[in-house]
Order: sequence, then structure tokens, then C-alpha cells
Amino acid sequence: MDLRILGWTYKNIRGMRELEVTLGSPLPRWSLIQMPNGTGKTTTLTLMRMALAEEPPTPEQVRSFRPDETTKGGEFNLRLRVDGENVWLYLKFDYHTGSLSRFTSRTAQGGMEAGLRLKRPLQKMLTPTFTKLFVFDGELAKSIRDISKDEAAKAISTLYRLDSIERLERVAGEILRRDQTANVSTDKGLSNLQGRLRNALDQLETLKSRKKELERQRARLEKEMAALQVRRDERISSSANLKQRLEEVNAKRNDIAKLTFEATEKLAQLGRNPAAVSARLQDRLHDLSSRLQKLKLPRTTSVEFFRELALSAECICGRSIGPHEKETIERRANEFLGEDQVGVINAMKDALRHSEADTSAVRDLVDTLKSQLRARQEVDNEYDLIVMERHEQGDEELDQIQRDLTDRADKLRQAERQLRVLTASAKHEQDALECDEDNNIILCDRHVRERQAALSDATNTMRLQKQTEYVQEVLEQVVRVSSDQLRLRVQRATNEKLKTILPGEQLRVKEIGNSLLLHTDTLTSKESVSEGQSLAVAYAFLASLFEDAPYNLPFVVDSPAVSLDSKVRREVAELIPNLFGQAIFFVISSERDGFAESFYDRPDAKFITVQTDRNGKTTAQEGITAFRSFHSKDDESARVTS
Amino acid sequence: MTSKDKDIADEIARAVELVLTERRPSKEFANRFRQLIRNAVNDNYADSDVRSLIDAAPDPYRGDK
Repeated sequence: MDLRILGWTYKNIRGMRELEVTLGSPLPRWSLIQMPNGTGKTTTLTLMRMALAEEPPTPEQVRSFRPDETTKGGEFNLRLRVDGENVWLYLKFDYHTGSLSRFTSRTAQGGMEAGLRLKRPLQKMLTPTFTKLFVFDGELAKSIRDISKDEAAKAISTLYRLDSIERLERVAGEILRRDQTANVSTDKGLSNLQGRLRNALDQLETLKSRKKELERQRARLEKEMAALQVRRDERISSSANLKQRLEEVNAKRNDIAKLTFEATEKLAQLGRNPAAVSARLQDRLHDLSSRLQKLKLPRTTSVEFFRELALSAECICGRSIGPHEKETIERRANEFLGEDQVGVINAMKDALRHSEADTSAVRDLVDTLKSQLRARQEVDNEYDLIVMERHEQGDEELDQIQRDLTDRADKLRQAERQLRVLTASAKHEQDALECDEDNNIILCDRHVRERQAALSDATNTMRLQKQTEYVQEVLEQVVRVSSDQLRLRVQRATNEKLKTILPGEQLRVKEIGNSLLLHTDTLTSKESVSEGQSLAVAYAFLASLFEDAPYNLPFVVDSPAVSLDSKVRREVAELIPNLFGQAIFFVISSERDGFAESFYDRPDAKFITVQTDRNGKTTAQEGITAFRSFHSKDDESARVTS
Repeated sequence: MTSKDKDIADEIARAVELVLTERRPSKEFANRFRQLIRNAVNDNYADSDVRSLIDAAPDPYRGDK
């Protein structure tokens, strides 16, 4: 990406009522703007930075540009070329409210857009901090070695697009947050869910064990009761007159059981044909059958059927199929096509068509079962009567057997009730027995599956979190390693340049960490480094920083050589021109010696002198003559004053 | 791509290889990672690319390291 400054315009900015500075076309590589101290060099750099980086100024900062109390507003316009396209950045100051409005205009789009509207990657890069590195302040030059803590690393990250990789870390974090909305996101949350699942599984195991235990208990009780009943019958049979009656009752019981079994078996058989169960059910099945007849045929089978039919000479109804019929069959085939599963539907249709049945057989069987139940009740009553009569005859052993039987029967009823609670699967039965996941195996099993699903969701979230953390760690590591490599690269390039600028001195950058750590063989600490040396280090560093960057940025500097001695000035003047594609130097007359004069013979240099006349009007004059003569007038003025 | 762009891309690619060599992730993760970094430097990727990379990362619940 290539960014160039074409010029700028002031309107009602401090002493500059109306002034345009144009660097010209073709754009000179080096522009030297001579402005006496106090005429707006620092202001111009501040305005450039303000135009390039979107940071809202305070009302006090806005009002500091006000030329006088009567002026309501001011304007600064910075003209750029970004990748060949002309872009105008407007700053409009309202001195009354202390506010700033920004506008951007581009040749490609025309018109004015509110705000700063540069190409996305460029605008992202141009933070206020970063902009200071290429719209370079004299103040920063003095403290270049400390460039505000981690600015060196930040600058490298921005210029070499490592921030794009850092952005991936944030994107990964956002993806994770989106997925975490409904699920647990912490190890503690996961642990809680694991605990709850464990509890549910334990409870299910307990209920299943309880069921087995109750089933064993039931079997044991039934066995004991059977044995007791045999003993009871033996005791009853010890009475001769009761023995016969007992045998008759037991014979009746066996007959009833046999009949009941046979009737039940037949009923179960008939139940397989729903039409045989009741006339109402039969009506409904017929209704379903008539609806199914209207259903469309499944696609795959129908396609084959209709294709084959269209190829036949005769239809299944016996009529002949000519070209017209063939075309109609093929065209309409799709209208009758449905989904798959023709076999199932046809089987259903067939079954429904043959669902005719006589419901009287079921009715008769139900009547038989009812009568057998009544007969069974009567036999039981008769048996109870025999037992009572035997009891009245007085038999201690029989009484004990009877008590044991009652006890076992109670226990059996309890066990069976508990088993029903444990195994009830129908909703109405569960409700009636007040079942929940703590006493019913079906509900507990459902509860376990719910817990497993919750844990699975949570585990997925945790898995995503762990995987996201891994990705972020790897990205961070890549940024760290890249940054180290690039810093080393910039450091080496800086030191190469320092060898040229300061050949006699062993001042070198030892490390680019959060700041520039200097190393020298002759100086003991960085405090011993002179202002000129600091400036030399700054230029060497900035030039190295920018020269390999994928962005070509202009270098704008205020008073580049004022603090350098003449020898270093010449070195810097020799170095700087080759380092930047475009350099704009704001100089004062005293910088002509050693620095500005080294550009006089360069054809790609432009000289502009900005001066304010006795009436307070500021003008910009182009040309080397005015540039050089301004210095002389200044000297004369100084002599007259003195 | 300019020669400067290529230099920087190479520098970053070297860093990527150093990190991948140290971590030894799956081949799928390594390939996706290289591709995403290349695209990110050119500001040309979608969130779904990042999601795919996350899904290819080692799964601690599957016993991956």
C-alpha cells in the first residue's frame, strides 16, 4: 500500500487565514518547508496527525487553533494519494462549540463522506500512536529510545501485519463466546454436571437393585404362601367331611383356570386384528383405508411403473396405448408421485382392505371371561367358608398357618405395590402412584439420559473452549516468534545505518524490546547519549522500520537537524533521502547549514518558504532562491533588532 | 505481491513452521493453520475458517495432546 502527501490547506488556523501548500506534480521525493519558529510547524504536524488518525480532540485542543475571538470556524485539508487515488481529508473546526467534523472525499467516489474513510487496512493501521512514528515530532526524537513503552513492538506488529494474526485470536474468542451462550463454560460447571449424572446413575442402579430384591422377595413370598396353602389344605383335609368339599372346590378352581386360560389365549389371538375388537374401531379403519386409497404413489416405484406402462401397447385397463396416451402418461406421471416406502403403504392398504371381521367372537370371549371371574369369586367364597368351618372346629396349627398366610399376603401386596411404583411406564399409572425419578426406573432412566445430554452439551462446549485456547496459544506463539524475528531484522538494519551515520562511535541498538536498548563501547549508559545521537538512532530505527514494511508511508519531520552538530547533520542528510519514498522536512533557517543545503543540488527536491508579512498575511513561496534568501532576511532582521 | 510483502510473508511463514514443528499438531490442523495465517495477513478470511481450525485442534476429551 502506498500513501503520499500531495499538499494541505489552512483556513483560519492560528496565524494562517488562508494558505495552501502544494508539493507539486510530479510529486517531489523531498520537500523542505521552511517556516520560522512560531509560525505553525508543530501545528501543521499536529493537524496532519489529527487528519490521518481518528482520535477526537478535546474542545480545548480545537479552540487552540482559533486565530482570534471573533473567528467562528476553521478548516484544514490534507490532500493524499493512496494507491494512485486522490483522497482529501477535511477537518472542520467549530471554535464556538469546540467540536471537530471530519469529511473524506475520493476521486473514485466523488462527493464528501462524513468521517475518516480510508481503505480499511490503512485506516486500521493509522492509530494516533502509530501516526506519530512517520509524522515525526521533535519531542519524540528526544525520547525515541523510550518510544512509550511497547511502541516499537506495536509498530512492528502493525507495519508487518502481525496484528492481523492477533485479530484471529480475538475472532476465535468471539466464536467461543457465541457457542457458550446456553452451556456451561467452566470446569466447575462441567464438574457439577458430571456429579449430577453420577448421582442419577447411582439412583438408577439403586432402583434396579431394589427391583431385583423385591422380585426375589415376591418369589419367596409366593413360594411360602403356596407351601402354606398346601399345609392349610392338608389341615382342612384332616376333617373327613370337609375333605371332599375341598377337593370339589379345588377341582372347580382348576376348571376355571383352564377355561380362563383358553379364553384369554383366543382373545389375544383375535386382538391382532383390530377390526375384530369393536365395530367402532372397524369403522375408523375403513375410513383410514379410503383415505389411503387417495394417497399418491411413491416416486421411485411410480417412475418405473409409469415408464413401463408408457412403453406397453396396452394399458392395464385393456385399452390400447398410442403415441398421444404415451405422451400423456409420461407428462402426468410426476403429478401422481409421492415419497418412498411404497411397500409399507401398499401393505397398509392391503391390510386395511382386508380388515373386515366379526366382532361377536370377541364379545363372546369377553362374556366367557367375565363369567369365569364370577365363578372364581364364588369358589373362593366357598373355600373361605370351608376354612372358617375348620377354624370353628378348633385347630391351633391351622390358625397359625392362616396368620402366616395373612402376613405373607400383606408383605406380597406391599412388594407388588413397590414393584409397580418402580416399573410403572404409563403416564396415568405413574401419576396415580406418585412416581418420580427417585422411585421409578423409567423416569430415573429418562432423567439419566437428560443428564447425559446436558453433560454432552457441556463437554462439547468445554471441548470447544480447550480447542479455542489451543488455537489462541499457537497464534500467540506465532506472533511472538514473528515479532522476535522482525525486531531482530529491524535491529540489524538499524545498526547497519548507525555505522554509516555515526562511523566513529560504537553506538548500537542492542535490543528492540519494549523500547530501544542501546549499547555502546564508549558510553556507559543511555543518559550519556547526546540529543544528536538519539536523533541519529531515531532516524536509523524509523528508516529500518519502514523500509521493509509492506506499506510505503511518507516521512514528515519537524526540525530534523536542529539538535545535530554539523558533522552528524551531513551524515543524517546523506542517509535520510534514501530511506523514504517521500520525505517532508519542516525546517528553520538555522538548519540550512549542513542539512538543507545538501538537497540544493538534488533535482527531486522542492523548497517552499512560508512567511508572514507585516500585515499578518501568511504566504507560501516556492523555489530555492526564496528558501535561501529567507535565511538572509531573517539574519538581517535579527541584527537590526539587536 | 511485492517483494516486501513476500519477505514479510516468508518471515511469518518461518515462524509458523517453527511453532508447528515444536507443537506437532495433526496434519489437518497444520495445513489449515498455514492457510489461515496466509489469508489473515492478506485480510482475506471468514470466521468459518477460524471455526474450522478450532475444530481441527487437538481434542483433550478424545485423548489428543
